[in-house]
Amino acid sequence: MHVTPRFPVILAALLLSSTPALAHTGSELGGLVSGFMHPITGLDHVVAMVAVGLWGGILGGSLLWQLPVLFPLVMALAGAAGAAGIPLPGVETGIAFSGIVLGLMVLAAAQPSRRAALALVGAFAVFHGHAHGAELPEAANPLVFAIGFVVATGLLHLAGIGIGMLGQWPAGKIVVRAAGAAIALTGGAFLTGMA
Amino acid sequence: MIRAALFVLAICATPAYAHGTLPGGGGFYSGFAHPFLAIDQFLLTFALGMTIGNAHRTVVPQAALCLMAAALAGMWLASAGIFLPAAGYVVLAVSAVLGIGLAATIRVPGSVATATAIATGLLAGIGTDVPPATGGAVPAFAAYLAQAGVVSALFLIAMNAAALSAAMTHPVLAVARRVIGSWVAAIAVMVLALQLTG
Repeated sequence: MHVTPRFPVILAALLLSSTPALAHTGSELGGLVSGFMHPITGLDHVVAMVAVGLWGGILGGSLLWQLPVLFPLVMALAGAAGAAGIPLPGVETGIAFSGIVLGLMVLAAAQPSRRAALALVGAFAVFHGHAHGAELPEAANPLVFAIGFVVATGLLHLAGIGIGMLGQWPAGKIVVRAAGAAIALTGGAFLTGMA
Repeated sequence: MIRAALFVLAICATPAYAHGTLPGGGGFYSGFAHPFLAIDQFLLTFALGMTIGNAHRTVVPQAALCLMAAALAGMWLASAGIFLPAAGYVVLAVSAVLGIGLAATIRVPGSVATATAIATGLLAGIGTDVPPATGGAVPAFAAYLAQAGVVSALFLIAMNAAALSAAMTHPVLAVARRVIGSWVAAIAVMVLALQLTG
């Protein structure tokens, strides 16, 4: 087919003046994205979630999966309390502390007993879950919002485990510990109101 | 010549109908889409599939048949005006239990898997607002097609999840199944709490 010299100009004009095709604008997708972005856009949540995965990677063994399995379950129970409007004092402080303590655990490559590690992570999951749960009633579709943020939380754990895997190399150990230090500092910044 | 042909095609063009050209296809698709769009039902059916996939291999076909039969029964009950009270709560509660079972890697016995499949099918069927095949406002043929769509979708969701679960034999993938179970339980518990208190 012969293409006239004006064809590219017309095509460019059409492309530039085109609007997005919005065939499906359901609120479910918006709720899913909103829930997914909720843990990711809060740096205090992000560092703590990544720290859980990182520490799991350092502890190894069954704790590698027990921490990421325990966290959403405890988070759900605390989230239920938050959704029900049951107050929990010091939520933001607890979240900031989770970054500091978990970051220090990673920095020190701490190896406490299995029960102590589970108890510590479970305790911090209460604060994160309560904060998420309090947001649920405001969501247009709480179910898809919950799916979004639970999946995002799990993926942040996975990211932490991935970084923790670097610890199998000597240089990787430095990266892991540096990440722990950065997480602890970020938690400290949130606690002191610097962030 | 090409210009002339394009001109003729342009002035003869009619709107493109990408959907609904097959008589009855819309009804089937509408029913088929329902279990995917009703997120609570999807969550339950997915959790059921993951659970039966983790059970003994012989459980899967039996549970699949029970799921489909119960879904049909549920839709017929709904069309007869029989509804389950608090079905929404039950859907989430069963999802939470199945999620915890997956997180704990509990291999359910055949009888439990079958009973859960029947419960899931009934809940999904009753919760699906397919109009009754009365021949009134909705022709009987279209209503049957919609019911067939619902059953097909439930079967596909459950069997895909079962296949995924059964394939998770590697230790790392078995951990992934536990994690998925904990996610399902977490989502169901939180939304259940919100509904109960809301």
